[in-house]
Amino acid sequence: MAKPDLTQRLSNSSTISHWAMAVLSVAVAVVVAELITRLLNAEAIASSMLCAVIFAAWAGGRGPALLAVTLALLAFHYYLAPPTSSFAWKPDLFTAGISEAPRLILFSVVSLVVAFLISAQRRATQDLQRSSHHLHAAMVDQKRIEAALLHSEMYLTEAQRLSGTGSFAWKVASGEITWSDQTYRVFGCDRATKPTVEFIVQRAHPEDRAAVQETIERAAIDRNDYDHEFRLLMPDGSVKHVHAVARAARDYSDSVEFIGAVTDVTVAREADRKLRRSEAYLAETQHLSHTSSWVWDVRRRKWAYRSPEVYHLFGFDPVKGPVPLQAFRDRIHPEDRRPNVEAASRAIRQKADFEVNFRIILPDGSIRYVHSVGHPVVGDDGEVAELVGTHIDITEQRLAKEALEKAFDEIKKSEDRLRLVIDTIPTLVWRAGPDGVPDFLNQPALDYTGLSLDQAETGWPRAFHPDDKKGMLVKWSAIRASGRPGELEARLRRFDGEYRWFLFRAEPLRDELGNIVKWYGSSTDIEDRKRAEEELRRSEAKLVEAQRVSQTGSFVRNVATGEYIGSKEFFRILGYDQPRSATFEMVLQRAHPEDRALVEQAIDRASRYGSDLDYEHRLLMPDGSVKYVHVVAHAVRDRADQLEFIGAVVDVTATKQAEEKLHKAQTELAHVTRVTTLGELTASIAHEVNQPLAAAVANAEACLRWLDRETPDLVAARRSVEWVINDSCRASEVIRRVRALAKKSDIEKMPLDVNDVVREAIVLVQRELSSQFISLRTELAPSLPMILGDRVQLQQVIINLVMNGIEAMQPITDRQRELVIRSGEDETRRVHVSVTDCGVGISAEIANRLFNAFFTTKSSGMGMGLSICRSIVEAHEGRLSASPNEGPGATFQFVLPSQLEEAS
Amino acid sequence: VTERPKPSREPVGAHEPIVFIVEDDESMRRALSNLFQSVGLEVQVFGSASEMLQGGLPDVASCLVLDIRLPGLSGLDFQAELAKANIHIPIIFMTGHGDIPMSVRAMKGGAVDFLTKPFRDQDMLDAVTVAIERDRKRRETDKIVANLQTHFETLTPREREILALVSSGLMNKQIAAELGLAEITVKIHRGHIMKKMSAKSLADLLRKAETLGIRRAKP
Repeated sequence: MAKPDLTQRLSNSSTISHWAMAVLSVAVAVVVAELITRLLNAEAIASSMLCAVIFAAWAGGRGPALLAVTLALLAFHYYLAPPTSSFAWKPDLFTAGISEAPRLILFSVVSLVVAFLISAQRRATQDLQRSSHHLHAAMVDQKRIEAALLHSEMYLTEAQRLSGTGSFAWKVASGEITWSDQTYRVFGCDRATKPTVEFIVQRAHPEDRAAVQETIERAAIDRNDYDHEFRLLMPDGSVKHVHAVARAARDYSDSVEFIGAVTDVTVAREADRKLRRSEAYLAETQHLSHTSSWVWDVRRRKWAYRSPEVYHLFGFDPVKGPVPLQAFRDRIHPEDRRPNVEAASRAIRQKADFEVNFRIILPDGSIRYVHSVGHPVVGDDGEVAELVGTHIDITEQRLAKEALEKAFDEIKKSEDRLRLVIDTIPTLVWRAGPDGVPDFLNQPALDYTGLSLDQAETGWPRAFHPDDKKGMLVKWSAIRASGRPGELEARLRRFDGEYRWFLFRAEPLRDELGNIVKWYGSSTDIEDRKRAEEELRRSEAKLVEAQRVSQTGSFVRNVATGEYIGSKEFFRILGYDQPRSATFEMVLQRAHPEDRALVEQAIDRASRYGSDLDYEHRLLMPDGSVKYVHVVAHAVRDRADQLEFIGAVVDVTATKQAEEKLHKAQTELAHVTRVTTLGELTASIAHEVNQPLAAAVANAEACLRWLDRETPDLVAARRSVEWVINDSCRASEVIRRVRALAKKSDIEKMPLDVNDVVREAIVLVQRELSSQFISLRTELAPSLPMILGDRVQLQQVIINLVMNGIEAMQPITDRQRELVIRSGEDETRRVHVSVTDCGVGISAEIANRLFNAFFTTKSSGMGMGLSICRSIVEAHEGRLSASPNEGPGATFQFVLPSQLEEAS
Repeated sequence: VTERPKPSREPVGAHEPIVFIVEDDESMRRALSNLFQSVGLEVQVFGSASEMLQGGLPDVASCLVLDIRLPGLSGLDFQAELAKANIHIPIIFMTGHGDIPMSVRAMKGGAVDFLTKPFRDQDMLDAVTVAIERDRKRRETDKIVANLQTHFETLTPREREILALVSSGLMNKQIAAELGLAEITVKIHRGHIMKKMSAKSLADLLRKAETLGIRRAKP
């Protein structure tokens, strides 16, 4: 473009000269015209002017030409128009028919036409020149470009060849594909092959074919750039990885052409694959071997590299991003941190390899054992630049080792234990050959016999009791001959010479052929059992003796057969001369006729219901004497599920007699006590008798007076006599009661209302109470159930309790003396009577001796009162108790079963 | 419990003496009232001392037949109680078997008699008669004193003063000197006193004054 610029500039600079040339040419024309005119005297002005215009037009173009025309007209005006030689306005120029005017007009037209024509011709010439110039320049450029293109194509081809990249162009509309050489090479075909989409697809690896097809088709539709990688399956079977990139270019007709490159990336892919595989191998190897590698940058004091396994080892997830150095440190067992650092420092200092073991504590508390090996890498400056090393997880080895050690330990222990068991079991263990000679004895066996193993092998029979030796040997031979497990009992000598009974058991051990290889045996000390057996024999003998002495006979009665099998004593009690067994009839025959029904009934009931037996009855012996027996039997089922009674018959005659004597003595005592009490009550009784007597006397006197009146009042007299009778009856009643108490009589139980008993007793003590200024309160529950008892004895109890109460209140002066007698019944229909005083009470120390015989707090007492009371109450199957009151004093209470209860 | 006599007897007037019986034994109570009624005495019987006190006592000559042994308050204690309450009823004690200390105590307490059961009816009746007589006399005395008291109430303070001095045996002149009065004034007062006390003579006045226990207040 430099050239056109220059031309322009030149043309610009020449424009002025064009104008100047126009002026000059006009001037020259004027001069020439002048000269010609002057010299030739011809008017040559028009032609010279025209020449000037032509020149101006030729040289300067249209503008200068017009200027020249104008100037020529001026010159005409100056020279030709009259007045000539003046530039002033000449008005008559056009008005008068001047000859000059047509000339002038003609000149003007001609000159203008000439000026236009010449200037047009000039421009055309100039244009032509310019385009020729341009053409030339274009040709030069063309040449240069062609050269450059040539170069570039060469480079491209070379580059394509070197980079394995081929280019291609694909006109989608026409389906025309252009390939570079390299592309042909990539696809493994020569230029003769016509590249088509089908060919490309067909050449693609079968696995990638679909993808390639799809990519291309989509590109054809979308008309967008695409970039894909696929494999080619070459005719020779090799596989190529290619990477195709294409850009869509649109031409003027809006048809799309893809221009792209295909690069053979097989090598890169292969290398990449190999690298990845090798990395995977390494990771896997590290993982499998629990080995991880690391690089420590010594100068920068940071990890240059840590394999993922390092993260795993420390319990981190490498995927989750970097873990700070401190976190790693924290995971190391505190005790191992310092040694680690020291080992590393030493390695750096000494430029030597190092090995260190340390532990890692994981967040879950588990411990990993790590063996770490490091190697220093010396840099260019001779200093250690890096430490390269591995961590090896030796936890499993370590645990395995520990487990192994433990297992060894266990085995050792269990061996020891077994040994210990064999040597400590309190059984003698031995082993013998098929010939019966022992070849092993455990420690207890050796200890017991005091033999050494050598001695035992030859002299073992001597360890047996001389009396048992022969029998033992015979039996042992028999067991061996039978080839079956067997046992025998014999006495074995202890090291100190004492013989003890042993149970020998032997068990054969056979090989696979069934031959006996060994006999294993144990010997158990059964001395105690033997002794127990002896004891049993002795105790059985003792039992017989004991039965005889205690007069207890034992028996077993079979219900089905009715047969009695009894001990010696059983038959002796029944008065039979030692038969082996007795029948039911024989037993029943001995029963006292009065009791026979009872016995039969009891046995019958027990046999029917299988209930236990417990009853007493009398036996009438053939000599007429009477025996009391107590029979107790327990029902059992024998092996045949037959009902049996196992029991004992006790001859309780002596006991019965003693009981009766005791009872008699007690009755006696009760009587004595009663009489004593009556003695104490004399004054009261006297008063009690005196009172009705006095009343009787008074009434009798009054009767006399009623009769002695002038008019005897017979009604009053009669009434008086009636009262006399009443009073006398009352006196005799008191005396009767006193006599009853004083009477020595056996217990006579009859249904009683306990309240009546209480009231009658009160009569006897009333005076005693009032003489002691004691007020009596009775709280007797109405309609109490009847009790079965002896009136006199129960009265004795009540009187006794009241007298005790009176006595207890004697020292009391500071409060009202009050005695309360209550009766009532409890929820079990038992009737109770209590006597409550407010006296001195019962101190804890005497409370438990209260009912003892001969215990008294009175100076004059015998100490029999409460003791007798208790035995009376107990004879009534009741209970007598004493308890201190809430306030002062004590309460004595006895409880008796009601008649209803008794009956049930 | 009050048993009114049923048989035909003279109607009981307000002035008929009453025998009170306190005895816890019913038959004894019955026998006693029978006995007293047979001689025409009015009888009121009680089971205990408190029963009797509840009823209140009529203002007639009466006596009390009391058993020594009673439930609650004993006979002797009842005697003491009555004395304390200023009730002067004569008491005859009965007992089943009396003892000496008991009878001494009873007699000291002012008992009329102490009878042991069974007693002779005559002894009891005699004792009751004596007791009723004693009570009647006491009642008469009491009545007189009460009468005198009424008269005495009518005296002016000056007259009472003079009566006290008279009863201590002072002459009119002495009294006048003592009280700083004229003798004549004293004489007039004495006249009034004699009239008000309805005394027939000086001796009578002095006796009455003595009965009332009037003495000179301060020597």
